[in-house]
Amino acid sequence: MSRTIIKVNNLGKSYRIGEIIRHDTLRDAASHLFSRAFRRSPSRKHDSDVIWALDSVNFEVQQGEVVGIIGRNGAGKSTLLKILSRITMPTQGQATIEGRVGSLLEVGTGFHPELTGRENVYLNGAILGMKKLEIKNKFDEIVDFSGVDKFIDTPIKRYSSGMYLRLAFAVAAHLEPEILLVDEVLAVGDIDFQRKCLNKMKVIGQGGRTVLFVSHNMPAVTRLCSRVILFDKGRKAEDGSPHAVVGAYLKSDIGTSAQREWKMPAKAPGNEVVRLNAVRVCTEDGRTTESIDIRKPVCIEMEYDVLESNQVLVPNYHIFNDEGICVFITTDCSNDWSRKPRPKGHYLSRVRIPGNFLSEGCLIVNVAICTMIPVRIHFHEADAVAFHVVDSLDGNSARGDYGGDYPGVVRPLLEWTTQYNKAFD
Amino acid sequence: MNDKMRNDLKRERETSKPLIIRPTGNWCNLRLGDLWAYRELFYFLAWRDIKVRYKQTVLGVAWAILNPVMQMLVWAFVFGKVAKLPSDGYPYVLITLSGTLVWSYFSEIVNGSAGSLISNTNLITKIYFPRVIIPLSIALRALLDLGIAMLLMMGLMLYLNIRPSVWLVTLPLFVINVTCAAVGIGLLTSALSVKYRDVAKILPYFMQIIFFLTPVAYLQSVIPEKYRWIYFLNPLAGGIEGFRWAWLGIPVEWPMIFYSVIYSFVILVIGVIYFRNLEETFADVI
Repeated sequence: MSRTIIKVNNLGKSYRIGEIIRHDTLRDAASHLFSRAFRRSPSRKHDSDVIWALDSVNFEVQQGEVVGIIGRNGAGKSTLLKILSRITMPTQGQATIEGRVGSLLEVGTGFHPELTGRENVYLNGAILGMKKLEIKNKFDEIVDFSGVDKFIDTPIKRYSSGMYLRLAFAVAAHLEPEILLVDEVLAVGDIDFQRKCLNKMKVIGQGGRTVLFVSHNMPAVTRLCSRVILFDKGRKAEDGSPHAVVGAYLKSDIGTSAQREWKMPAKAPGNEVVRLNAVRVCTEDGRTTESIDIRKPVCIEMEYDVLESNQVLVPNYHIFNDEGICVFITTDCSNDWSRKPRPKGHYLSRVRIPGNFLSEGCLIVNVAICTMIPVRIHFHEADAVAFHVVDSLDGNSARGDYGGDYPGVVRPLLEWTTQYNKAFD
Repeated sequence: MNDKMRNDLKRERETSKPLIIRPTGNWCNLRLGDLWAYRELFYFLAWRDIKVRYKQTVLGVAWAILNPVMQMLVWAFVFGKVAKLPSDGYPYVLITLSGTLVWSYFSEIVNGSAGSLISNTNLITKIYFPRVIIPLSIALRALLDLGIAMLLMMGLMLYLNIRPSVWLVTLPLFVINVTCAAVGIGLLTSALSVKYRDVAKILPYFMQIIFFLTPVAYLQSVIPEKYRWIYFLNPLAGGIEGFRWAWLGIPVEWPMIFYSVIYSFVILVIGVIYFRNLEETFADVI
């Protein structure tokens, strides 16, 4: 008989906009006070603007459940995890948790570059809430799992980033709380490492422990979780079986729509080099659209500001289908700007995907801009936009006159030739 | 995992109450039990600070001795030789060393605490623990340095053939006195600097003022009677005078010690209450 281990009751967290526009210095605070005193009415109204990062959320988790938490950026997933791990306090409602909580919002929290691998294992273990004796007993296992045993007495500032990650995850993987809160830890590292992490997560889940797992990786969510909760704008939108909820997320507007704009620079994806302004899916003649005829080309465009000159930037799109399979990645290899340092300014990069190439269904686009030498990802916005490819069954698409289920990741209209030899006789 | 540990964990599970997370508005709850539960992390953070401190220095831990020695010599030269201030018959180096010990201890805690939360932003935004253990671990590190420097004081006195007074046994009281004041101010500055980075800019001037209002490199007896009241307001002045009394037997004004203890305690209480009430917001504001 399972028991309720997490009970979330009317939980909410609000930020005042005035708090988000931070007063980092006394002068800011003073000038803010000053302007408030003299322009009472408009700024008052402004101050009363409250953003609910999490709004009246209710749910219960039974012991042994592995619950996936999905939703687009800013939906409140991370806020929920931060409240449950007591990093921030809720504004309203309450959460009751029975059992030892381990939260893994990042791997390698508190790793110190000057300390050796061995010392960092102990430090990081303590930070994650393990007792010293516990770490001591598991030490060999941790080192074994990480595969960095040769370098365990070397300061980790000499580690490669891969070794660093492996050691960090090894410590985290040996955390044995009854309740594990995990936030997108798997978004880092190479494929091998990710596979190792996912397998470990699976083992943890099967061990009867309760896991809350925030992720954008839909295949991972459907594979690992027994239940998925979808968040939208701080509220719980769906709660149910992984396939149903993930499916609903990908197909709905909550997941993505054909156009997104970032009006506030502070919230836009990017860094000091480049900042994303907008992404949209449109037809060849520039009309934004959510559904595209399978025979027609579709264009994806991104608008961005280059804030630092003399950087070589490579925009790229990653296209996924609704099963989470990467259909293809496309990077800008045209002669316009590839390998050329760019001056500051506003740019619009557009890619044209030919008609009669994509399969029917929902396609999700991740948008990123990188520098290749050395590799640096300026931003990578997952699930930025989405669109549907539809076939009107007119008989001149790749499926011909067949109207039934027609699988395949892509559906190119290929050139067929048939040689005909006249039959004997 | 051995049996004892497994049993411990099991007991912990059975006896642990469910954790309830809800908005708090309670001003007086200092949650000291919480602090106890996280004592291991506290040791680990202090240990990390100590370990990292002298990494990649050639002289290593010797700096814990060299720092006070340098200061002692500089101040003894400036105040003893150049300004020719009285030393009540003691070698001037002992006057400055005893002052420097306390001052270094105090300033290490205050300066170290002020930036401690900001430099641990990644911990604060990713992990829960009572935030107060960050500045407290700084204090523990400073205490270790004080201990090492006191060995130096002892050695120097033996070398100069001066016996410590019997009142050396009271030394821990004065250490506690200075610790209270330093930790109290450290908690205030660290909590304030989470929101206002100006604190880091103002602090050096504040410390300079305190330095000159504290008898670090001179004896308080050189101060004219009518200005002595300023020293009564300064808990550190009482701490240093107490230190000299315990080590060297230099007479002190007891009312001053008394006020010093009271002030230190008040500062500590204010610091703790202020910090603990703000700490829930650190992750949002930092």
